Amino acid sequence: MVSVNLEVRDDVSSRYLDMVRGQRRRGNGGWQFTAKSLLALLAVVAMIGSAVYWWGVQSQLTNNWVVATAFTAILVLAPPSLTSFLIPWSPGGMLLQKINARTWGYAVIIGASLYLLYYSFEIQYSWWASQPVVAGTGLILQQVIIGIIGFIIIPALLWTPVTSEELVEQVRQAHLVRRYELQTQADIAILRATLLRAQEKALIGFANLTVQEKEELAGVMRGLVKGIDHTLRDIGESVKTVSGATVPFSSLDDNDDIRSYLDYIHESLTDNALIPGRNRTQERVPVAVQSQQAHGEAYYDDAGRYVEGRHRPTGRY
Amino acid sequence: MQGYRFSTDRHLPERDMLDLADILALQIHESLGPRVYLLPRSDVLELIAPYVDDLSPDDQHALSWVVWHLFQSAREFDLAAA
Repeated sequence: MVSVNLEVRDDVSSRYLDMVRGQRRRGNGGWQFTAKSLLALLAVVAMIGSAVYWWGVQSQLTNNWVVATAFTAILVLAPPSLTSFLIPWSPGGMLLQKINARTWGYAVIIGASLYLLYYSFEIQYSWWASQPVVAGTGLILQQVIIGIIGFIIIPALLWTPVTSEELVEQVRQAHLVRRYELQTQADIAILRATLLRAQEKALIGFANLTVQEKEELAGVMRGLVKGIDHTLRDIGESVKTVSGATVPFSSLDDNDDIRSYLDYIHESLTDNALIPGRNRTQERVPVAVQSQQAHGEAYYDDAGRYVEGRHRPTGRY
Repeated sequence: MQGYRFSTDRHLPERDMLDLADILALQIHESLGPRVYLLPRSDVLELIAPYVDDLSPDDQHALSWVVWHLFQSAREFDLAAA
């Protein structure tokens, strides 16, 4: 049997594959006239017409041609470009709109485009009202709407607010920020659970710990919060490095809730009669003292005096 | 089919095999168009059978694979360019 290595086939020149490649090139080189192409052509014509129209209006309003030119440029270009943000015409555009909808910039775009539409409407209405034939036939509103569609809506439909690369970048940034938020929430939830657990233990079992151990535990709790703060700051930094978006970082240590938990735990662990000058939690003292007595360790007696390494003379022995 | 190169057995030389597959792929593509990309290998064998019935069954079988592989390569070009 002839064994033909199929992988070899691609290396060998193939007239068939050359023909397919050639067909593709010719296919790509061709230009298809679609409804969108027609709209693009119409948009170009409409915008040239818009420039002529607005120049006619603005040059009547002022003799300063520089100002008239600037206003003409604004009224020709600004309404379609701002409106293009409001009427996305692709799945990517819809997503971008959803992401940007909660930003201040988007509110500004909505306000500015609405005002420009209103201004355009008013001026065109006055202009058409001054045309005797239109005014006589009562077609002012219809003419104005046609003008707004041609001057603003059609160009706005054809313009995409951002390029595909920018769209991808914005979506990525939104994703990263969301992930950061979720991770922060998860960290806070874990921390809260940990602290609550520690709180329970502080009430039940920590009374049997030595003073030093309690101090140490309180330090560990604070260290835990600082460690999470550090992790969050790292995440924020990595978000900034990857996407360029600065994510505001609020330290957990500054959070009133967390701080109150920490203070409570610190007090629960350290604020007791074993430490001279503190005697608010006397009910836990005997447990600790008995524990220390059992091991023959140093302890504070009921009057707060330090007793070193001997058993307390009680009736138990 | 008689090739320009000679084989020491009754099988077609590999170079002739590849050239023949190329010509067959061109012919089938011209008559069927881009639908050839969807052909299973058994259908390819059936389509090329009238042109290769003088070859050994092994060569016919191998040719059907080569032609099918050419169609798949062409399809990849098509998808990549689309």
